[in-house]
Amino acid sequence: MKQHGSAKPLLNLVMGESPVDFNLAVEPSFQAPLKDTLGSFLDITGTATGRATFYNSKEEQEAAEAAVHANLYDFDRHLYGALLTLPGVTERSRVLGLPRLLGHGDSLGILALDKKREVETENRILATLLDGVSFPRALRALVSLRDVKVNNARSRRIVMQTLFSPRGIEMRAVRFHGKMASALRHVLGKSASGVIGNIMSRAADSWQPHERKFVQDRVLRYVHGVDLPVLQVVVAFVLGKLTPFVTANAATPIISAFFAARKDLTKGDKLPFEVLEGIRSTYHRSLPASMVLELTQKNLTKGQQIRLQRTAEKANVEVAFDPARYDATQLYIYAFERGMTDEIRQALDSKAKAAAATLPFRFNKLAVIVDASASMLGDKTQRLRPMAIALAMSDMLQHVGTAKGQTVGGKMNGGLMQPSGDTSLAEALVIALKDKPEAVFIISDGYENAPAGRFADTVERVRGLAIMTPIIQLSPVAAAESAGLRRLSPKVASLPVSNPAGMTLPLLREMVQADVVGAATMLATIAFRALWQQKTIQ
Amino acid sequence: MTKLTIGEVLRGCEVGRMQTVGLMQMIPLLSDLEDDRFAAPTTALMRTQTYGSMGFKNPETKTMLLPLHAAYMVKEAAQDHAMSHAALIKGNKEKTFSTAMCVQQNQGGTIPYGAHSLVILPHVLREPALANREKRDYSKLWSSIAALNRDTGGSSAGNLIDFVSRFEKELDEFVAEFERVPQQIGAVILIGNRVMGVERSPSRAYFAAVWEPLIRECYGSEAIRLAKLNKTKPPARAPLRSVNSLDDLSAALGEARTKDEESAKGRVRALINDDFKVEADDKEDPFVIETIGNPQFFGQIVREGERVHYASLITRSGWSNDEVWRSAKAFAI
Repeated sequence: MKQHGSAKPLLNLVMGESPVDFNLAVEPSFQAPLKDTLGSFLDITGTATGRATFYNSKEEQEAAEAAVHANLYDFDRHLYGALLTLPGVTERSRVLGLPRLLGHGDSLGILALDKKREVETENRILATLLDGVSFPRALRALVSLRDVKVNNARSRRIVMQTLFSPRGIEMRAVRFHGKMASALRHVLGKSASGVIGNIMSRAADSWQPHERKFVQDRVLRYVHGVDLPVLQVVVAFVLGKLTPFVTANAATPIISAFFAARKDLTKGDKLPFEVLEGIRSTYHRSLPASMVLELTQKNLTKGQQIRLQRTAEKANVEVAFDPARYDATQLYIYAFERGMTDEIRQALDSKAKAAAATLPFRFNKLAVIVDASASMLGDKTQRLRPMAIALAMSDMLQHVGTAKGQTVGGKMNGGLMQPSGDTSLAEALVIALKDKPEAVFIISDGYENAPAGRFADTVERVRGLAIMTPIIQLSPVAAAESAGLRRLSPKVASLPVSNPAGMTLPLLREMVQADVVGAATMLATIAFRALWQQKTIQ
Repeated sequence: MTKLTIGEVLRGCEVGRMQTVGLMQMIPLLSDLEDDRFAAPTTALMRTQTYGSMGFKNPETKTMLLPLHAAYMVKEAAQDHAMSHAALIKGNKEKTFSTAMCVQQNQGGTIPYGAHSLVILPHVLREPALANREKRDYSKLWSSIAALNRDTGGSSAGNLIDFVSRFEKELDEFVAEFERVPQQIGAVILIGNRVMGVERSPSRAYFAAVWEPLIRECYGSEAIRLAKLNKTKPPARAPLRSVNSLDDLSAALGEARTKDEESAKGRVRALINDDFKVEADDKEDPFVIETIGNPQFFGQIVREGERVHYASLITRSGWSNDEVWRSAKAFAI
């Protein structure tokens, strides 16, 4: 029988050298547990959203996530932290790691770092984690420091620098002052917070020397790039010290608007949409909600822009929408709801090319099969997300080599493939293999019913023909247990993915199964190389 | 009484590709014959004023068809209820049914008017529910619900929510595993290779509205119950023969698919000419609700003259027990 396709490794990564010397030493008896731990970690940190899926409740997802993080941390805190900074790790996973890394819990210590670079490595890890995360998420992590009883010099510095970083400081304060107060009171202590709030709520030229020192030691020395009057007003506002210096200060027009809008809603045009809507529903109930949208349209976040399009249309208010600012999955979900446009299609194409450029592998010829059956509609809380991810993945794979695509099920509607129909992937696999690709990617949630098991039967026959072409199932869902990933066949690689740019992680997971120490060394090298491209934390 | 066959009930339908997962098989029924004069039940407003009495408001202009054994398990602290039969409610009208059943023995309280989520009673409850459809006794289904719970490892109380909560994840899986296909207006459901039910809807939109309650609570529950009792085994899919090339594998897949489809069609073919006895039950001109039955099936249909718009037919519980006897060769010398 003729053999075509080959069993050569899927990936040929260009790692280069690590900028920091390290040694990974894993006792033989620890290798199997490390394989499980690292495999689960790569699975869950690349896909988990914390939301319910078809298979698992929110609570089950969260418990499994926490266990996975704890297990890898127990092996080595530096390896854990470094891997959290890898491309493709979800924002949620990064944030879950922060309280753990800000604490000083013991770990086994399988990765020995060059002592001279240890502190800098940790600082870079923390800075990278925070840099890649939205403020609301970072804030939730910082608030949780109270629950895990972490309060040390480093965590204080991180909290201050995060809460009071210069860009958007007033906007953040009016949106999140409640949670900011919780985080601040935890690191300062209750009575010190009260004292600092009182001092900051007065003009600085009225401070006594001991008051200046008090504030300098606890707040000012951590914060850079913010004018003192602005910082004063923000801190006092967050801590609830509402003197006229705070509520009507020309240096802080947004915080002043927060108070002025209570009397006159139109004075709130600098405020975020949800903040002004809160003020309207408390102080100006007779005024229509559409007035808030009109006043605040230029302040909308990109998430609000996409969510409020329909509301805006009904209220005859134009809300700017720039497709370039969203990821491919978000754009597809938007297009499913509002229709595909040339602008969105162009943005999707350029994002697909950019995502493909981040992948460390290429093919000459590959096959892509997209499952567009009805189950790809997804759970009620994540409607159409699996299909959106699948289409984004498929777009990206078109730029990873010369790709021939097939869709199973589905129907085109308005330029978009809408999920519908049953799932018969076996025939599609055979058609794909006849073209002799180097690899076959099947993007599917793993539900097969025409009949269930036929795909696995087909893979058996294919392997019986000595056709060893790699067949990779990409599942656009996450599940709490790795066994929850619905495999079409035990003989194909099955990888969970939540966004196209995150495909590296699941593929690396497959390598972990083959050689855990080699894979862990490679992962650490990739992570350290990326970390040393970042700015250091001050 | 007029006679009727499955062939007549399913006039205008073709079978689609059978779906098989685990114990269950679903043969889609496809049709271009649609009638959009029926409102789907999803917009109905329902309440209970007393135990055993369900009131419905139809906010649509079209006549609303409540499917056979519509049930409601509500979030409020109130007693879940189910209908004993199908029903028709004229556009923008209200109607109350006093032969309804409580399906939550240990919970009191009445349900206020609201757009509550529709389910359809588990398969095993539908025969006793329909048999007692004219009886005014809100507790008439409790012993059957208690038996369902006991058989599946739950408590011995007439609380349907007990079963649905315990098997929530498994029931959700059926929704993901079986997919509605284009042009589908009905289905033949098999469990362990046995026909368990035949469903037909007036339109694709109506079928879309009742699909999830049917595959989840109605038939999914039966697959779970039979599995727990060890009373069934998964149907074997047609084996994929050995092959010597990819072209040969394509041919082998086609052959296996044809065998699976023939097997499914054979199951349906065996039913086509079976007669039903028909009894008129209710009407909202020009539509009539009729209860039909034969030794294998019972259920209700909605007709307009000769045209069948809706059918929900369930295999009787005793039928499977006698199957071994029936399939044995007749004596001959």
